[in-house]
Amino acid sequence: MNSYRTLTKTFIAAIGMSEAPDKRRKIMIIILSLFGVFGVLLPVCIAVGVLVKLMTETLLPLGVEPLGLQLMFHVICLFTVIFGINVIFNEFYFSNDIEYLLPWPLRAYQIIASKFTAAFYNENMMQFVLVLACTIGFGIGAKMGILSWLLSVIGIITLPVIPLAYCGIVSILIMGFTKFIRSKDMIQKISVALMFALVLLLVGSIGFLQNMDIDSYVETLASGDQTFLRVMNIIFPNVPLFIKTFYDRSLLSLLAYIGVNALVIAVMLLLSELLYFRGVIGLTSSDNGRRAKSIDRLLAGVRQRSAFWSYFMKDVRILVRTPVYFTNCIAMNFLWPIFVYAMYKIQSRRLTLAELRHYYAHRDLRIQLFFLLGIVGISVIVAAINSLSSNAISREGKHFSFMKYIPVPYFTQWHAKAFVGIIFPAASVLIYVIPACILVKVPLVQILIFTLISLMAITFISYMGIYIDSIQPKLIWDDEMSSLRENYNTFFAMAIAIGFTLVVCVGGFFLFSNTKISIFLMELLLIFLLAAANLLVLYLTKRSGIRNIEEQEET
Amino acid sequence: MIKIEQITKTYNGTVRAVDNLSLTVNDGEIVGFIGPNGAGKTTTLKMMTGILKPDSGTVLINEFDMQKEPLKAKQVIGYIADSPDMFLRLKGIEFMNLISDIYKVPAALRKERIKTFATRFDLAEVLDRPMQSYSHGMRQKIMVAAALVHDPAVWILDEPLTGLDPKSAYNLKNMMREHADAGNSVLFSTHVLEVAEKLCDKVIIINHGHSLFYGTLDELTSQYPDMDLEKIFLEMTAHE
Repeated sequence: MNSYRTLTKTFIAAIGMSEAPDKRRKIMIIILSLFGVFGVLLPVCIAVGVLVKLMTETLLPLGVEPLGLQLMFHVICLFTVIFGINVIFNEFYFSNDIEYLLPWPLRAYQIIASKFTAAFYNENMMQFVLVLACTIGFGIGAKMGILSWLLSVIGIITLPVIPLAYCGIVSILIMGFTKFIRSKDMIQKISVALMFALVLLLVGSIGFLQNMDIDSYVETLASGDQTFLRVMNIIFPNVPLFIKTFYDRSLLSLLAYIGVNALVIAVMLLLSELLYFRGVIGLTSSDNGRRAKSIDRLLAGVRQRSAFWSYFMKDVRILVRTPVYFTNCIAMNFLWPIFVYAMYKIQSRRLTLAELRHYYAHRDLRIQLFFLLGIVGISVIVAAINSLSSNAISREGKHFSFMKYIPVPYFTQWHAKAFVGIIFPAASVLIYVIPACILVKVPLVQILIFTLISLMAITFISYMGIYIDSIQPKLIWDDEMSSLRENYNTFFAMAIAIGFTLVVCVGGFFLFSNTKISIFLMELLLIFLLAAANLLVLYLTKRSGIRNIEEQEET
Repeated sequence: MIKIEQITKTYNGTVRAVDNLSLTVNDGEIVGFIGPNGAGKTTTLKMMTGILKPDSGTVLINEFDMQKEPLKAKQVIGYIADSPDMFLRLKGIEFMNLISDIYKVPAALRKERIKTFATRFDLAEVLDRPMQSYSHGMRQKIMVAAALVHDPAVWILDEPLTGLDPKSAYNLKNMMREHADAGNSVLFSTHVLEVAEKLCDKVIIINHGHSLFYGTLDELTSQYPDMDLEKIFLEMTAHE
C-alpha cells in the first residue's frame, strides 16, 4: 500500500504545468484560465445541463425521467473509452519512467494501480464537469431532494472509473498476447487504430439508424423501445446503478455500484499480475530494420536548403513519425467530416445534394451564409483541435535550448512552426471543402473566396496558438502523450477558437438576419475581420511573444 | 576567443548558480572547465551559448556580444549539450543536414565534412537510421559531428567525451588539439581530471558558481607541491 501511495503521489506530481516565472505571465495565465472557464467550459456545461433538464421534463410525465440522463452518461462513458484507450496504453506501457520502475522490487498491480490512479486523476476533469452538469440538469428537472443530491456525489466523481478500467483491461490483454510485436511504435499504432475503429463504429452505428434524430429518439425512449439503453446498461452497469442510487435513494444500488467498480478494478489488477510484466518487458524503440543506404547514396541527395525550410521539415518529420503526435496532431485534421456526418445524421430535417444545389443555384442566401460561416467555423476548430500550434513550443521539451543556441532568429523559427500549424489543417479543410463546393456547383469565384477565408482563419489560429504556448510552455514531460494531455495551453487555445467561432458565426448570422446585407459584403467583412485578427496576433508575437521565448528558461 | 566578464546567474531569485565569474579563452587555447556536480559549469556554458541570459555581466564570442549580436555570436560557436538525446525521430543524416542548413554550410562542403566525420567516428552505417535506434555513445558521436559540421571557430563542449568509445574519444581529443593549434578556441567541461591534465592548456576550477583557480596546470601544481591533480581538486573544493 505504501508503494502504491508513493508511486501515485510521484506520478501525480509530474502532471500539470510549472508556475509562470514572472508577474506579467502569471496575469496572462489567469486571464486565459478565466476565459477558458467562464467563456467556454461554463457555457458548455450550462448547455449540457439545460439539454438534460429538458429531456427530463419531457420524460417526467411518462414516468421514465431518468432515461435521458442515462443516455447522456452512456455517451460520456463511451467517449471516455474512445479517448482513454490511447492514454492508458501510453501510461501503462510507453511512458519513459517504466524503464526505471521495472528494476525496482514492485509488484505489477502496484505499478498499474498507481498509473491508473494518475491517469484517472488527469483524465477525469472534463468528464467530471460534464457528469456534474448532467446531474444538476436532471436534479432540477426531476426536482430531486437533498438526500438524492448527497448520494449523487460518489458517482459524479467515480463514473469514468469503469470505462477507463476497460481501457486498462484491453491494453493489458493486447500487450500480454502480442509478444511477437515488440516495437513501441507498432503497438502505439495499434492503439491508435483501435481508437479510430471505435470512432468509426460509433459514427457507423449512428449512420445505420436511418431515422435517428434527437427529437425522435426521445419519443422512442418514451414509447418503450430502449434497445440501445439495454445494450449500454450491460456494457456500463455503473450508469443505471449510479442513477438508481441517487434517484431512488437505494442503498442496495449504492453497494452494487461500489461492488461493480471494485470488481472491474480487481479484474484489471489481477490481469496485470498475470500479464503486465510479460507485456512490458522487451519493448524496444528500434527502427524498422530496413536496409540502410550507403553513405555515398545518402550524400548524393544532399542539397542546401534555407534554415526556415529545414526547421519546418524537422517539425513535420517529428510529428509524422511520432505515433502520438501523428494521431492527435496530424490524423485529427482529417477526421472532422466524420463528425460533420454524425451531426448531419442526428438532424430531423436533412437536405439532399440536389436540394443543396438547387438552393445554392437559386441564391438562397441562408444556404450561402451557412456555407460561408461553416467554412470559417470548421477552419478555426480544425486548426485549434489538432494542438499543432498550441503545443509547438511545449513539444520541444528538453530540446527547448536548441531554439536558443542556433543562429536562427526566433521570429523565423516562429514562422516555421506556424507554417506547420497552417499546412495540415489547410490541406484537410480544402481537400474536403473544394470537392464539396464543386459537387454543390458553387461558382469558382466563391470557391476562391472560401479558400482565402479558410486560410486566413487557419493562419490566425496557428499564430495565436503559438503565442499562447509561448506564455508558459510545458517543457517538462515524460513522454509525448503527456506533452499534449497535460498542456493547458491546448485548452486555452481551443477556448479562444471556440469563442472566436461563436462570435463570428452567431454574430454573422444575426448581422445577416437583421440587416439582410449581401453575401459578398459579408465575405468582405469577414476578410477584414480575419485580416485584423491576423495583424493583431502578429503584433502580439513581435511585441511580447518573442520576449516570452527569450525569457523562457528550460525549467 | 571567448571572453566572459563578471557574469552572474540566479535561479528563482534565490539560488546563485554563477557568481561574478570572469574568464578568457584565447585563440589557440584549450581550456578545461572543472568543478563538482552543481558547481555552475553547465549554467556558465549555457550563458556563453545564449541559452540562458546572465543577470549581469557580458559574454563575448570572437568579439561579438551575445546580448547585442546574438546571431553573429551563435554562428561561430560549435556547441555540444550535456545530453545527446535530441530529435531522436530524425535520422542521423537528416540531423546533420538540419544543422548544416541552419549554419548555412554549402552542399559540397557539408558532403565532404559529413564523410570525414562518418569515417572518423564510424557513423557511415547508421546515418540512414533514426537516432532513436542509436546507442548512447553513437548519439554522442552524431552530436559531436553535427556541432562541428560548420567548422566553427569556437568550440563549447559540455562533457563531450561522456559515452564515447576509446577510439572516438581519442579522435575527438586529437581534433580539439588540432583545432586549437589552428588558432581557434576550445572550452570544455569535464569530470575526468586525467583528460584535463593531458589536453588542456589552462583549467578553470569552479565551485558554488565562482572561480577557485584559473591558469595553467603548471601554475596550479606549483601552488600544491607533492600533490597530484586529483588531490589538489579535492583539497580546493573541500575547503569551499
